[in-house]
Amino acid sequence: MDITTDRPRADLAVIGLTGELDGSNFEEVIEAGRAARDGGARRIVLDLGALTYMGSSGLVAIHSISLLLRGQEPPSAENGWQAIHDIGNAEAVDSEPAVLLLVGPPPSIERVLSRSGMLGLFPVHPDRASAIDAASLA
Amino acid sequence: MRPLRLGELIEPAVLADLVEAAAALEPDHDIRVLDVDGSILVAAPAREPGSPGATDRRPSTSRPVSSGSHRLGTIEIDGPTERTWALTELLGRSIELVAGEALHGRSLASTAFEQELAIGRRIQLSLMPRRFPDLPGWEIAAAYEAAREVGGDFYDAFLIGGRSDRLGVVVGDVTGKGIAAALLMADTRALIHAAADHADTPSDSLGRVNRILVHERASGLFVTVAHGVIDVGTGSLTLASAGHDPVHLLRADGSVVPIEPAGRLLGMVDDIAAGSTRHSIEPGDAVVGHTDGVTEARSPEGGFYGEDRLRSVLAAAAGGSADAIVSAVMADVAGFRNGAEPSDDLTLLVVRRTPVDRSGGVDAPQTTPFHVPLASRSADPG
Repeated sequence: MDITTDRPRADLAVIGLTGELDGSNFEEVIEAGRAARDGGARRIVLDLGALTYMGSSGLVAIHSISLLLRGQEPPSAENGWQAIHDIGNAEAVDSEPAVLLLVGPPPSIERVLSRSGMLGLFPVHPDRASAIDAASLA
Repeated sequence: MRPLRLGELIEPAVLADLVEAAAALEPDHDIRVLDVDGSILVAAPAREPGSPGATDRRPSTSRPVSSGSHRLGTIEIDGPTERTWALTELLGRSIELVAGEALHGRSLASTAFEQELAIGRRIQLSLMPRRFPDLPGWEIAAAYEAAREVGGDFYDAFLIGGRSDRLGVVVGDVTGKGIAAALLMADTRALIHAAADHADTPSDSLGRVNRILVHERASGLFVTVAHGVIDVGTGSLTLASAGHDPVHLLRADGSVVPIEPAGRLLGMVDDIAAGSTRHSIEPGDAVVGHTDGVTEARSPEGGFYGEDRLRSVLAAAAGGSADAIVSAVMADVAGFRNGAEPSDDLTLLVVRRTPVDRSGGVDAPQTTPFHVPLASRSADPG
C-alpha cells in the first residue's frame, strides 16, 4: 500500500491510499493521520479510490483518525496489554461535525464500510474536489 | 517430593500482568491468586466498590489452577455479576497456559510480542466450545482454523436460559490480535450469553453488549457478530448482525439465501442500529455462518475466495449433513488457498434441521466441533 498526503490548505490534509489496506499496514494510515494532525490539519479527506482491498483493520484506521482529529488518543491494539490498560480512557465516536471525509470507495470497499455501519458515520464523496469543498464549508 | 508452587513457576510480574488484565475487564470484582499452600500471590481489590449490584454480591467463585496432575494453586473471585464465572475461567486458563509452558521448560516464543500472540491464541482456542447442545432434529457442526498471527474469531451454539427450546448461535470476529483481542473475544462471548437470557430479540442482545463494550470497555477494538436465535420446535430463526458478513440460509433444494440484517459493528458507537429479521428453517435446510477469513482467503496468485464461490459450494453441498457441509466448504477453501498460509482466522458454523424421516432412521446428529490445530500448538490438556 502507498500513502500520499497533500495539504491543499493549512487546516486540511488529503490522504490518498493505493493498494491493499490490511492488518499489516493499517497503523501506517493512522500514523499518516497523526502526522497531518500534528502538522495543523483539523480536517482530513481520506481518499480510498485507489484501494484494491480493505480488511476490517481499515475500519480501525478510519475510526482512529477520527478520534485523533477530535483530540483523543486511540487505544493501540498492537500494544496488547496497553490496550487493556487504556480501558476507560477513550470515548466513543458519535455523530459530530464531520472532521473526516471519505472519497470514492470502490464497490468492494463500500460494501465493507456499509456492512460495518460506518457509511452513516462519515460523509462519502465521489471525488476529492467535492470532499475538499465540503470540508471547507463545514 | 516438594509440591510445585505457582509462585515459582510464573514470574511475579507476568502473574501481576495477567491479573491486571482480568481486573481491567471487570473492575468491580475482587481477584485473588493463591499459591498451592494458600498464601496469596496477587490480590486485586475491586476498583469500583459500591456499584448498584454490590448488595446482590454472589458468593466467591474459586477455581483450582493445575497443570496435568499437579495442583498449582487457586483463583478466588468475588463479584456482583453473572460474569464472575467467565472471568474466573478466563484467568484460570491464562495462568495455566503460562504455567504449563514453564513446567515443560519452554518459553512460548522469543519476543514479548510473539509470546503475547501465542498466549492470546491459546486463550482463544481454549474457549471454543468443545461440545454443542444435543438437540433431537438438529445437527450442529463447526470448523475453526487459526491463522498464525491475526485472529479473534469465535463461534458458539448454546441453549438460551438453560431451556431446551431456544438455541442461540453466534459467529464473531474481533479486529485485533494478541491477548487484548482474545480477552475481548472471551468477554463478548460471555456478554452475549448473559444478554440472550434477558433479551427479547438477538438485536436487543447485541445492543446491550455494545453498550457495555462502548461504555465500560472502550478497548479500541471492534467486534463483528452475527447472532441468531432458533426456535427449536418450529424452526423459526431470528437473526441480527453487528457489521458481520451475511449469514446464508441453505435450502434443501440447493437455493442459497444471503441474510444480512443491518447493524453496526460492536464497540464503536453508542447505537448499533441493529434490527432482527425472521426466517423459517424447514426440515433439510441449514443456516451457515462464516467469518471473513473464509471469503477473504487468498490463492497463491492473490485472488480472493469470495462470497460467490462460497454460495456455489454451499449449493452443491445442499442435502448433506451439517458436518458434510462444513467439510465441503473447508476442503474447497483449502484447495483455493493451495498451500498458502491462512492470513486470517477462518470460522464456519452450520446448524441444520434434520430432514423428516426418509426410511425410519434419522441421521445421527453431528455435534462435535473440530479445530484445525496450529502447527506450533503443543498438546493441550483436556
